[in-house]
Amino acid sequence: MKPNYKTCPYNNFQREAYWSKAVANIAPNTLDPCSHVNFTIDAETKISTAGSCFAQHIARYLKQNGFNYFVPESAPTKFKNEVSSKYGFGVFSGRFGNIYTARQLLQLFQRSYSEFHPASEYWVNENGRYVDPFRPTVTPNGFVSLAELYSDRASHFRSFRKIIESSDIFVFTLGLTEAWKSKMDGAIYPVCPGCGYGEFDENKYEFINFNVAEVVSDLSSFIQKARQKNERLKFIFTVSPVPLIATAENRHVLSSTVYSKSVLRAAAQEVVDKVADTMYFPSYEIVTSPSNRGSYFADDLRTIREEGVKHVMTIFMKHLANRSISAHSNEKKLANLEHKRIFHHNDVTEVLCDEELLVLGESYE
Amino acid sequence: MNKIIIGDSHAATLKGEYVKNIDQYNDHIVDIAPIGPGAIVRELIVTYETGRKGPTPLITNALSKSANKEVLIMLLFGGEIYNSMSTDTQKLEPFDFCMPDGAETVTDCQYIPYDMVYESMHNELRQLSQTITFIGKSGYNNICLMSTPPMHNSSKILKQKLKARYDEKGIDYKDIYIQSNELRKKLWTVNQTVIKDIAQELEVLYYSPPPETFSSDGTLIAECEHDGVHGNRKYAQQILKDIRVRF
Repeated sequence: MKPNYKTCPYNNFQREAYWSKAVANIAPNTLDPCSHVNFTIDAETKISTAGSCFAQHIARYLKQNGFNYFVPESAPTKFKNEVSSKYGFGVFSGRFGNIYTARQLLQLFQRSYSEFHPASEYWVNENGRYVDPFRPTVTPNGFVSLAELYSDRASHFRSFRKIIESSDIFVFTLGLTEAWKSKMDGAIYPVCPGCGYGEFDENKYEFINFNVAEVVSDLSSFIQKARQKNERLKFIFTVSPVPLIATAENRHVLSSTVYSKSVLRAAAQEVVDKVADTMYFPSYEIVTSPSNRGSYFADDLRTIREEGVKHVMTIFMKHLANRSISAHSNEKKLANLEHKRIFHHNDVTEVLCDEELLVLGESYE
Repeated sequence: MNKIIIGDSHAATLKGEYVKNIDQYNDHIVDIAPIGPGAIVRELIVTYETGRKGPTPLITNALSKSANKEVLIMLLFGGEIYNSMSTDTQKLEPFDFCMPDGAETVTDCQYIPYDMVYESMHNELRQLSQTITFIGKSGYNNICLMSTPPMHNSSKILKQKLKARYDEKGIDYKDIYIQSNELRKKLWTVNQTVIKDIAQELEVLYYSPPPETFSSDGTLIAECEHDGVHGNRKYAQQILKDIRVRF
């Protein structure tokens, strides 16, 4: 007896619901897992970005394609870009450095609006200069004085408040679930203390690996708080396809990567399913899909090749802006890249990631 | 020691006094060569048709004034970045930064790290190294970097003076943007620090104007000031007399 499929609900599903039609038997560069969008952007939409390393690519394409990329924390034009980007200007909408976790984002909001005052206000480096524990790389050699650190931080908080209060869309790329926090007050650091900046002390710091519920809670709190300041603010969440550079869990880094990305992906979905005017954009899926057979990863199997970024942003523009990306956006405009801190050679556009500090120590051993 | 001074518009100030009273100075000044105003540090080395890089002929001409290689070559370049961050005919965004020895917090505007200001100016003025290398290769081993004077301490008066200067030249500038007195003073201080540091890095001498040309707030005294940006004849006299004693 033949199996009966007459009433099978799958008969009526769209093409994209079938792996063979939507993933396996298509040209890899035509993969489009973005089923629908909850809102669109146009040239007037004020868009801000923050997050992990991969968020820098989104920022770059938005600028190159003439969108209203909002950067309230920017260097005066008299400063050359190769210098200002070294100090964190123009890499994201603000001089955040990398914001890898949802808790870090939430705490940035709380600190900017004086809801949270972490005990560790500064670290002192080997040269006697002051380091901001929450943005250690934006002033690479440290601040010349405490007065400078506090002035810089106050200016940064002002800019972040502008981002929250004036943006139309906030794009946040979730990068990690692993983080290091203060045992005293739960403050989350972007990089483990002692890895390039600060000094590790097990009595002061501890490892945390967020689970889905925690990420959902942090993201939801952030959205709620941000909307109290700007009720029209919409959110786009993405998950960075960049694997972990190292794990602090006692297990293989690949297992930790899969855990982290799974948690972030699940949490993002849970949030967008329950909160209006939020959406998930599948950067992670596009880059890691088996359809491209790993070709979007560079030789280090972490860095995303420009081709992969272009694919992501082509889909992003197609659905969110209803247009194709500029034909010359990669080739010509990269030559004049605003942010010289982002290096382009061969087929890889490198971005600067604070996370790399975790393994730089290897070269000193 | 005999000297040749090569520089930007500040050298022109010195040249004016030198030419007028050459008898008073020719015992130690061989020549003063102002080779152009403003943004010229990066233009001191040029690429010739053959593809060879070398100093602008204005420098080789100035050097040719002395067969004696023991002459002291004094370079007087303030840099474009200091000038254009302080005043411009294009809108200047408000910003501020802290000095390393300052305990002050800054005003409600975009904060810039001190290191970024320093590095911007340093990157520009470090280009003098090529010129200094050339001068050294030409056999002149006595080289000195000179400090430039600060701008007028009042933004209001500076604006009036710059407007008058542009009017004189027949240049119509509708607006002249000028940073606050405090910010300009800080920018000048960083610029002088950079010149001093570069002199040390390149192992050449450093010269700063004599204290009697400055008031207690670190700006040029009124009697030494000309057009808000440059020193006047009295300032030139002070410098030329001072370097006779110092070198």
